Amino acid sequence: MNIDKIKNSTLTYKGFFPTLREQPQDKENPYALRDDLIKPLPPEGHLVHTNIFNAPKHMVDGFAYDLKSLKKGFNGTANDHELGKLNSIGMVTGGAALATYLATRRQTASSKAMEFVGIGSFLASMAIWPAVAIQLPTKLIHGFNVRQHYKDSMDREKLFFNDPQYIPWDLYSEQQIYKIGDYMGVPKDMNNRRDYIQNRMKKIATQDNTLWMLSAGFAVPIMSALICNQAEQPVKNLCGYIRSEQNKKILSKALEAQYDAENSDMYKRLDSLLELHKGKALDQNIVNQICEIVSYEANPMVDAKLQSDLRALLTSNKSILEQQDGDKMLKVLEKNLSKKLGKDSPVFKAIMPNIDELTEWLSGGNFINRDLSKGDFVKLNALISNKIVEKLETYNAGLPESERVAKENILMLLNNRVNAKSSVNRFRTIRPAVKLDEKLQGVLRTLVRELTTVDNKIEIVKDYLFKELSAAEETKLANFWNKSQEDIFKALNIPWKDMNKARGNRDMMNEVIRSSMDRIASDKSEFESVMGKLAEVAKRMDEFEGIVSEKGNVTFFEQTISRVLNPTAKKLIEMGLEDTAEALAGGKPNSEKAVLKSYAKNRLMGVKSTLYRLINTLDMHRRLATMTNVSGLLGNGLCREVQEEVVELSKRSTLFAHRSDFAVKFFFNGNPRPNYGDTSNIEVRDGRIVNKYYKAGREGYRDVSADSNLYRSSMQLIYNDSMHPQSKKLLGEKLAEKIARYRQESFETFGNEYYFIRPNSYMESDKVLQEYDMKMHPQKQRPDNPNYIKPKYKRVSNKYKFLLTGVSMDDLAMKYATKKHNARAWMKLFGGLGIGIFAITVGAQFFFGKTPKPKEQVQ
Amino acid sequence: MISPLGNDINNRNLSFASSDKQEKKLDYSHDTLLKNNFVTRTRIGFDKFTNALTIYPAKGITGNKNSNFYEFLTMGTIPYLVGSGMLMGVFNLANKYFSHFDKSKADVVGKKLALGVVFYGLAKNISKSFITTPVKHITGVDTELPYAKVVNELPDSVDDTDVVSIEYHKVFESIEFPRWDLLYGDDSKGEVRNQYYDKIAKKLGLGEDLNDSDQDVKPLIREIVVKSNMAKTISSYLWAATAVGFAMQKPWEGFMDKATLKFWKKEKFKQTCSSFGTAAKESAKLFFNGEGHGIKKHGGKIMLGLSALATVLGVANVMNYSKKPDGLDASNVIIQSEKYEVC
Repeated sequence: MNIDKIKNSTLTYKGFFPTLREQPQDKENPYALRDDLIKPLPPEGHLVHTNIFNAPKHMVDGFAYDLKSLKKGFNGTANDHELGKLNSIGMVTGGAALATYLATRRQTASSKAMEFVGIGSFLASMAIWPAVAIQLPTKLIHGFNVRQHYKDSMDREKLFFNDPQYIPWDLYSEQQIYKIGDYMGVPKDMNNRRDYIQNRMKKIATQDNTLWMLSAGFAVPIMSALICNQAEQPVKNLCGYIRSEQNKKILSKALEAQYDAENSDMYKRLDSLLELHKGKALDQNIVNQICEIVSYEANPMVDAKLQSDLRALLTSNKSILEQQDGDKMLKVLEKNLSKKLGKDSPVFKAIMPNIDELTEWLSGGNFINRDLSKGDFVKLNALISNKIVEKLETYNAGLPESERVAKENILMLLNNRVNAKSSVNRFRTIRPAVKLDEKLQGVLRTLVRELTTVDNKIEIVKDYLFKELSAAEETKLANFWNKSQEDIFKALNIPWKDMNKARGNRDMMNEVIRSSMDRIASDKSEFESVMGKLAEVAKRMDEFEGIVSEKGNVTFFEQTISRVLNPTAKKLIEMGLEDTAEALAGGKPNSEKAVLKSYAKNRLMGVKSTLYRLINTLDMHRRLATMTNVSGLLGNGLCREVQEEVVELSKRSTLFAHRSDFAVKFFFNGNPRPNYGDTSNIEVRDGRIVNKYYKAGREGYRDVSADSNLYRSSMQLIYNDSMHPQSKKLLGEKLAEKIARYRQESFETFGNEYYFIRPNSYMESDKVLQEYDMKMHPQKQRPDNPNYIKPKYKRVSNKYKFLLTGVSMDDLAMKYATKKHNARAWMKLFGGLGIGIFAITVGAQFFFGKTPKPKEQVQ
Repeated sequence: MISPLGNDINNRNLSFASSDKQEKKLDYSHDTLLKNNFVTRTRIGFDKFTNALTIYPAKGITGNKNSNFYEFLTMGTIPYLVGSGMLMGVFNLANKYFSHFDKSKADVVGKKLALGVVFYGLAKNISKSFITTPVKHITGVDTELPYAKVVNELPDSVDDTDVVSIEYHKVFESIEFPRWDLLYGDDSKGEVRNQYYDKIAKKLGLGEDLNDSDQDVKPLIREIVVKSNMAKTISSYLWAATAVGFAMQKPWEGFMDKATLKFWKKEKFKQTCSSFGTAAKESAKLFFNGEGHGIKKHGGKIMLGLSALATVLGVANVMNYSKKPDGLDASNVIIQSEKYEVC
């Protein structure tokens, strides 16, 4: 609207326009604006139309306006509109502060990020809900934007329908209003059509605004939670990716890192100690102080070796006497002799040598300035005793016999300790042989530099390992496993209804899994599909090849450890700290190097075993379904009933044997007296085993732990018979090779009956076992059966067996189902509620805006 | 559209022409300044709350022509309350479908978050008085001063005689249009016309016996109200965030496990009350002292410090009002070259 329009307007306004009481100046145009009066500023209000092109600018302008409002609020000059904006600023500030605080209490990057996502999604939902559930439906149903924004003449952006008592209708042109009216179906010939349309729009807007207030409380929290729910995985993926990218650089950093070891606390403390005692002989006190400072706290094993090496370096069995030590020796002698004789007694004065005498004795005996062994001190002790006795005899010679002092008494005073060893040590401790000379100081300083540097580098390597493989949330391995688990169950395509029902009951879950495995194995195309997908999951393990190689190749990680530890170990050996070097970089299982390597290996082994076990299990089911490569079953001359038991045991073992089952026997109840007469082969119909004899839980079954042949056949079937050709093809050469190694390892580890017999009931020698078996089952053809392969006897640690077992399918399924059930339960409740609220909100709008038409029009 | 007024215009309780008969039925016959005390606040709060849940939604959802912005804003209580309940529900309602172990874990988190929601609401509302109370004591300006507004509505039908409603506003709720008129004394009652403004002028150090104390004081009051509103808004969100942080502390877990709101179970309810104090004390300590190191350890202190700082700075900023006489102020001028004042 411009000034010309105002001038030509028919409106009147006192002061600006002539009123009826005034004589119009221009009789032709009595309502013309008088030029001599103050005129209102031309209105500049307009509707604001936002689209994807101007939205960024709109946002930036809005942000700038908010900041301006804040400044004006601080200065006390803000208006109502600007004060209103401060609420949004406060909300965002408070939200950001809260998210930051909560993030400090979270452990992982993604959980920290999710705190911000949570606050952000809540604020976003407050804006999205009215836009999606009210603005959009109203636009579609009634043809206008109920959340239309406009800017007034003061450039303040407001909602057009905010206040139903004040709606600036003049911002809408006639055409725009009529267009909306057309959309609403308002008759074109209606009197006061614009008023009618406006009233209808106002009514709809009032209803919509009320609906917004009524629905937002229900919808916003749910919407926010749903956004968070959906955002969680992408945020995790993003954080995982960032972390992974950062991790790639960590190992190189460990190699290149330079440390200012001389600024370390250890170095500074040592330096001041060395300055204090430099050049001195190292007594026990100084040695203790050095050992207390020089340590390797990161690894107690290494530290123990370091302490013992260091003590050996700083102490010696030998001692040394120097010219100036005569005074100390005299003090010792004086203390011993004066105790009983008294310093003023003539005998003391007569026998106590002076420094010159003592020096002469020591020089004569060649005791000065050379390393003295314990034997030397025995001689030294004897020399001094003899010399003093000589002096005593000279003293006694001038005295009557009754006044003479007995030689034994003086010797007793000289050797006043009970045992001779103590009397030897009284001079020996005066000056230990090791001196804190320049060379030793250099060695100690170098040692601390090396230890500090290697410690820092090892910390980087550990940090790398932690982020890649540790048993914590969101490590690379954890992320890999979470995704793999999801993919595995998607591939197995077990009906969710069954899994959900069985999630809290192991027996039920076993049934569900077994029937799924049998179903997959019996159908070629389904088997190929599932095996192909499992192979894809297993192949993703390749991303850990840089840490531990399955082929035994030296990986970059292992190279890094060697390159970090070996130079230090070499220097330690040069310093004479061989044991410390061995503890740090040696080949023993508890060395720092071996611990780092085995940690990585073990962490990966658990995951790998689980995946390979599943593949092997499915393969075995397929072999059984097609009776291919089942010599463990058919090649050992087993009767049909035992064959059925072997199948049962094999299926149970592969699917449900737990990580703890290796330590005890995998329990299995069978028929102690099977029907040996029926030597027919087990029957397979439509890819499924048809049992003739075996029936789980049948009366009379008992543990057949002593039947080694049953277990051996089972192990042979599970691990030693070749994989199904279809499996090999689907796995590909590289993965098939890896799984072959896993099977071989498992066969050698678990295949021996030693591990499958209960404690105190196993038989250690094959001979005893054979005799027992032959007695029990005389018809059996073992071990001369050509198909029978005796596994190597392999004694490994329980931990190794634990890792090789991997996670059983029922454990896996129960955890997965429980987690999924929780997520689905939540989603069912709140997703349903969300949909319901949305439907009601949208549905209600169809009934809005019912405005009676003017009576004339109705007629 | 012009609505018919009907024949009973004289019976309408309009502020300019109200009858005695109608006045007896209503609390107020015209816009009336109210005392800002606990009783009034409670009464206003209750009135607004009940209207927000009953009359206003009913009017709004039917698109009543008398629905206004006040009613819309008052209905803001609904999403606030429902949203709080819903937020608690989001964290807790689905837990019963989880396995026992998962439920116990989820309950701990859910209950703490629910407590956080309650503390958020309490802290946000209570903390506003951290600003308004000192401002009132120091400047004499009660930024929360309420008044009852008599609103004359359009009749819904020819027979509709219930056309007057009462709204509760605050005198300084609009910076641009404060209800200065309600603050003038009534000459007919022997009151000094500028009594309120004289008092404020004296409190603000402008002196006594001013000729036009109202003109001198109005811009200062406006400044004080703007500054305290800003401080109140920003600091209340920070206090609310601090309260949520406080609710997230571990000692609450033990309390939430045993707590009950069933006041008729006397012993258990008594225990709940006593253990609330212990849990609050322990949680406050933990929140302040923190755990671990770095930001994790000092996060609580920082949050608390930030909220306290915002409050103190907010009040200090209010105190720093400009003692300028009334007149053309740069902020009141639309076009600097023209010097037109917005009144």
